[in-house]
Amino acid sequence: MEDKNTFIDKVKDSMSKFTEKVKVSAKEFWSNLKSLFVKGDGEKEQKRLSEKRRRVIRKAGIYTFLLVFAIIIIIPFYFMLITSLKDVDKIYEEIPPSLWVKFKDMMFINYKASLENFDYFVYMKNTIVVAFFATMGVLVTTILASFAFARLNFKGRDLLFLGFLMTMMIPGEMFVITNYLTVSDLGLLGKEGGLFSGLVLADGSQSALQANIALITPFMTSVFYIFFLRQAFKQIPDELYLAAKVDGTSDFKYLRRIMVPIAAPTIITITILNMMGTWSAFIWPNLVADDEKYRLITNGLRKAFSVVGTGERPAFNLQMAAAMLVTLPLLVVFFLLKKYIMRGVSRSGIKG
Amino acid sequence: MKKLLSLTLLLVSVVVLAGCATKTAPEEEIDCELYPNAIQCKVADPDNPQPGIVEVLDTLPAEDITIDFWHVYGQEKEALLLDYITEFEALYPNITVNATSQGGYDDLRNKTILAMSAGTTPTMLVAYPDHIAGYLEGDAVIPLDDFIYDDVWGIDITDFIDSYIEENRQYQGGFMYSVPYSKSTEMMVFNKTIFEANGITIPMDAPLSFTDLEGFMSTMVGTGADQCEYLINYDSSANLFINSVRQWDGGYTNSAGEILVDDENTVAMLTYLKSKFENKMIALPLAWDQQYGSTNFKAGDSCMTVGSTAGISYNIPDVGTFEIGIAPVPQWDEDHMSAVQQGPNVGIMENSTPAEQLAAWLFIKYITGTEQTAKWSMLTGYLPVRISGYESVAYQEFLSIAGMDAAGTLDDYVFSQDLQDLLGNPADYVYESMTANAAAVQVDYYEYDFAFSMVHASSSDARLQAGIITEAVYGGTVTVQEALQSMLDDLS
Repeated sequence: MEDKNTFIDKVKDSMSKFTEKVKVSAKEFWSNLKSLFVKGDGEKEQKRLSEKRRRVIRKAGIYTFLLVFAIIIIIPFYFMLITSLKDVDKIYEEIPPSLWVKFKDMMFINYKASLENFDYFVYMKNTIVVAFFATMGVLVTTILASFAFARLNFKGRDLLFLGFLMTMMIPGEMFVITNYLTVSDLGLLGKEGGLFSGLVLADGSQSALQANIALITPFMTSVFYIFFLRQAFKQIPDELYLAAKVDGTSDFKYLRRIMVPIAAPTIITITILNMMGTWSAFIWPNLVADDEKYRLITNGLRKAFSVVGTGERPAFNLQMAAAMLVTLPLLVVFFLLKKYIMRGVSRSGIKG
Repeated sequence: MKKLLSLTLLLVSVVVLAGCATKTAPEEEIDCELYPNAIQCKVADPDNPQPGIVEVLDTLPAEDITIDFWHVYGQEKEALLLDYITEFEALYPNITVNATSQGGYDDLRNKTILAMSAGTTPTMLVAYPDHIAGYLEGDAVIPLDDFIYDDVWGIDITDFIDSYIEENRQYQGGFMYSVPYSKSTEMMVFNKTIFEANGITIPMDAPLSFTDLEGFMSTMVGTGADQCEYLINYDSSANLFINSVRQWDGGYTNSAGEILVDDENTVAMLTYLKSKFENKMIALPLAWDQQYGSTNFKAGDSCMTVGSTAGISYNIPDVGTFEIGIAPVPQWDEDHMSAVQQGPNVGIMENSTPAEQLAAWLFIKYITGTEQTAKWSMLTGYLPVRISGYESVAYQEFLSIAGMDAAGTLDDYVFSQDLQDLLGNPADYVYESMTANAAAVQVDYYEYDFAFSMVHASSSDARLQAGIITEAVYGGTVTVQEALQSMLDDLS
């Protein structure tokens, strides 16, 4: 009991200290602001003031600008959040939609309802498995290929690289068709014939292993990431390589001990972008995973509010609740790795 | 040198890639005198209904058969479908039905088209007529006539609603490439309380005419206490256009994919609609910046609203506000009565063995059976596809709920155990029953859209355009002529 009281006292104490601090800093702020508009004595003082004034105005400008853009970015997310807490009838009736929901009107049950609509954890597990292996694969192929293109000298290197870059001009949707045919010919779709057709289940339908191979392999390499990492590797001075060579290091050891650590921010960016790519993949898993239980989170999300048949309307609140649940893990990862993402993206000036 | 080489490579790739964009040459016409047995040369013959195109096994093989069924259902509908599968597998223990939802209708169609090129299509699937028309371009679906008229496995096709059969027979050769499955139509919901306050009784067993609607205008539309801002709302502008064209005997599209809106009656129809938009007889949800008119119907802004039978629950006002009635959709005249019928069918894909095709056929036969179609309809809001489904004891009892509610005898009535097992408390299904009654009136004059899938446009593009131009006319931004011309331009 006593402990509790002392704890409360402590909290009170720190609270009052905090408010005191705020008061003091608020006072300081106002007096500073006031001093800007009070005429000072002497030329020196005048100059100091006008400089200060300019600085404050510039800062205010920058922050207003940033604030406006922050709001633009945050509003859709905020709207998603409050829609997920609204009553479905309200959503249809409110024109324009309200931007605020009272706490007592918040329908947290929407989250429960949308969790009941789809096997969140099954889809989440699939997504994590696919994201993990696809990212591992992408890292191995990207690092090795970038090293070859950036450091090794072989005949036709630049031409080959140019050929790689050209494939970036083909829209991704085109690859869906060829990839689908490849996966199908490899026997990964539960039909007879092909390298992997031996893995089918007893009743001839697609097995989990087949589905995962089909889901992961096409995303185990990416020309864009190779290009991205090659640029990072290129910035590492040749002298390091030559010095390492003089010391008798093998190429692989040099790559592992020198290049990868130096290019770590780029590699982390690639990891994150690829994970996010898997997270938002929709068409491919829908195409190659025959059974729903092998599909990924976005497919599940679609199912969570899938409205079929004419005349039925989407329950936007459940839709948004499901979207929140799907975005949440990604958001957590983003905040945890924010530092690296920002560094990587701003470094390259390219967004994935 | 290196630069030159790169440049050449670039050029070559540009040429190669450009080649991808050019259209493939149209398929050559088959010479039917040379190949009388080619499927394109066969025509349905009433005297010999089994064309012999598909091999129908006499007995179901004893080995295990697995069929894949691609559908779009989620949640409750999927659960009901799984119930049917369990029942079906108990009847045929060696058949396994692998039913998977493929997302929405577009996802399903896109996936199927890809699967056609890889040879990984399912055994059977749910499809709209324009999907079937598209699959037929790749000969990926099979005609079902050999099964339908088979002595052992056949069904009584005359038991199905006529217009559903016609819709499924509209393809090349007049063969039936799919069987009706989940069908719905439109209905008119009206504010019974407000009409009664003005001494008007709206019949629920026959459609109103547009003359009737015009007659209601002076009493019902205005700003008074028992008046509405608009008389009647149409949820679907595309259906308003297409259904009105039929009622006016105008031109819309034909099975060859021609756009026929450059037609005297179509112009007259749209001109009429325009005048009725202007005098507030007809509203589109656009009037309130909405997608559907239900919210404003419930708020009393329109006295009547026309929408899909599947959307009835959205038009039921809060208890104590006002009472509603449900009637068939209004008609222009008795000679060209028309109500839209919509909803997908089920078909069997070509890329499957005779055993799988037979198993799929048996499953189709099961899910469209009398009892099953009636049950599916009562629980999902769709409509029975068989006449016997309508006439079944359970469905008739379901239809009678509305009448008993009107007569005030619902509370005293004891429902059969079957219906109670199915619906829980059947007395809760008054509005669903009203809807089913209104739909039953329209069965005799259901009309369907011609399905086509051309390079320049498909029937679903035409439907989309019909909706767009109707809304444009409603918004007053274009004249009738301009609207129809823009539709012609966009679809050719």
